[in-house]
Amino acid sequence: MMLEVAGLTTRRGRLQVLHGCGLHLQGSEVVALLGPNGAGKSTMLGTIMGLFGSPTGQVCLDGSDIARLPAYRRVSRGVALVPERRQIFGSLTAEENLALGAYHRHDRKGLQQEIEGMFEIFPGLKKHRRRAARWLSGGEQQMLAIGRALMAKPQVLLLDEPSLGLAPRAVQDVFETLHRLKGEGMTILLAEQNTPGALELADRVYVLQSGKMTFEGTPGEAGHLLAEGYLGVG
Amino acid sequence: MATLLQLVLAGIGMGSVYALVAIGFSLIYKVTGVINFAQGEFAMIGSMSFWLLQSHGIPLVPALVVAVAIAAAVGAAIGRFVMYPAAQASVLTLIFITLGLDTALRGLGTLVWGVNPVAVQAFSGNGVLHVLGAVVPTQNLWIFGAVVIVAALLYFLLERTYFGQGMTAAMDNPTAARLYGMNPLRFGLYAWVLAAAIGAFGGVVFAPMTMANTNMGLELGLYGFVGAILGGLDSLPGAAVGGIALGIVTSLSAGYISSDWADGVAFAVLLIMLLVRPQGILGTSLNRRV
Repeated sequence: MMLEVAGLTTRRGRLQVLHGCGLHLQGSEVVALLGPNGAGKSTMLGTIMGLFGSPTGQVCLDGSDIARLPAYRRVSRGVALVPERRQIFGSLTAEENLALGAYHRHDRKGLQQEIEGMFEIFPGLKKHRRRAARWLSGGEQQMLAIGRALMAKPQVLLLDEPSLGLAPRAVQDVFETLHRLKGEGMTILLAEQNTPGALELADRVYVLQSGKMTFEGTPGEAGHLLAEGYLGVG
Repeated sequence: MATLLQLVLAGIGMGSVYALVAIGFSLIYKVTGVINFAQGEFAMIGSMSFWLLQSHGIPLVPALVVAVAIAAAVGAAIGRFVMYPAAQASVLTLIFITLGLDTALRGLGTLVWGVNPVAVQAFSGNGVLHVLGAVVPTQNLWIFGAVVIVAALLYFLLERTYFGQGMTAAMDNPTAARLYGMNPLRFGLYAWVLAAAIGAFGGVVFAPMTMANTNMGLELGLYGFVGAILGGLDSLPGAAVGGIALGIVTSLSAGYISSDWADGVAFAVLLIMLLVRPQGILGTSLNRRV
């Protein structure tokens, strides 16, 4: 199992957000995490990354438990998050943002070539390479955030609502990128509100509601139940 | 006209010292969120160490380097043995710790160096330059040069090195920085070391302008803080600009009104700035920082 998460009970402030949540991903699997606003999707991804602590439970990456590691040491274990609302380094240039994705790596030989490689994957960023990233459009910033995560060379890529607040055209670009990464065999966990796009991409689907996992199954089943209104999402 | 120029040039000299202290405030604030009220004491440690070395006949450059290194070591010790163990405490608690540190460092300084003011020799004698009828002590050039050197080194470190870009990124977005392997505690430690070294450098170049003593840190810290707020606490260039602006304002008010009024005018300017433009000259809007 590439990523195995079990029994998370994360609190944020006085509120318990997760009530014993778990999920698992095989290598090269693309899994969608669906659920309404406030269900705990971001909290779950943040707990996997160590931004929030869970007093119980495990986060196992490729067989080793990383649940007690501080956040800044988890990326070097092979898991990278594209955070909600992108969280790029706005005062740094697009190129610097990409370069810093590799910050945790000891071996940074050929970094410049890797950055050029990212500009080939995301040609729209190339003309902005020397601009402060805060001036990029929402779609461009999202591509930059994904590129930064890929620069970390993760085994598992987590994405938190990459289509949030983007123009339809940019949403399409994001999903095209994710389809391409899937084709290259990347293991992906995608939290989304854009249900149709996520169902089309995913191999398997979880639904999180009020901090509990209420569904696990194929995109077909999930789509069916969602259409009937059983899952209260979408 | 000559009086005006005289006052402005004197203000730039004094303001450059405030600027160096202000840069330290800004650096620690940006990296850790803490306002370090002990910042002025690093200037005191720099001054007094420099005096001690100089009085033992140590030449200028080694004395300057060692004095700055002593303060940097104190900064490192505070970062490692005081702020690091308290890292989980709230920012307000940490700020109160720095208030305690201020008193502690001043007390330690008094134990080591005594209470008497000491005379520090100017770097290149007590000569003056005549600029369009204004008289400028040559030490003022050293002070201004110190700001230029610090600004250039900080720019190079933070903008041109990979490590420094990481530190800039952590100031820009601490959460994303943690996600990508940057250790905020380590950057915090480096911020303390840098702020201490820069403050001490300011203290060393300032020492010959006045009688250095172990109580000088309080006033320098206060003026540096006002300069940092004027310029925008979350902007390093802003801190430098704010410090120099404050120096000019206090010099002008001392010259045209009365030196008794200089402090009052300085704080009036701060008050007006906070009312009109609370984020400071070059700072970004306060409500962006959640």
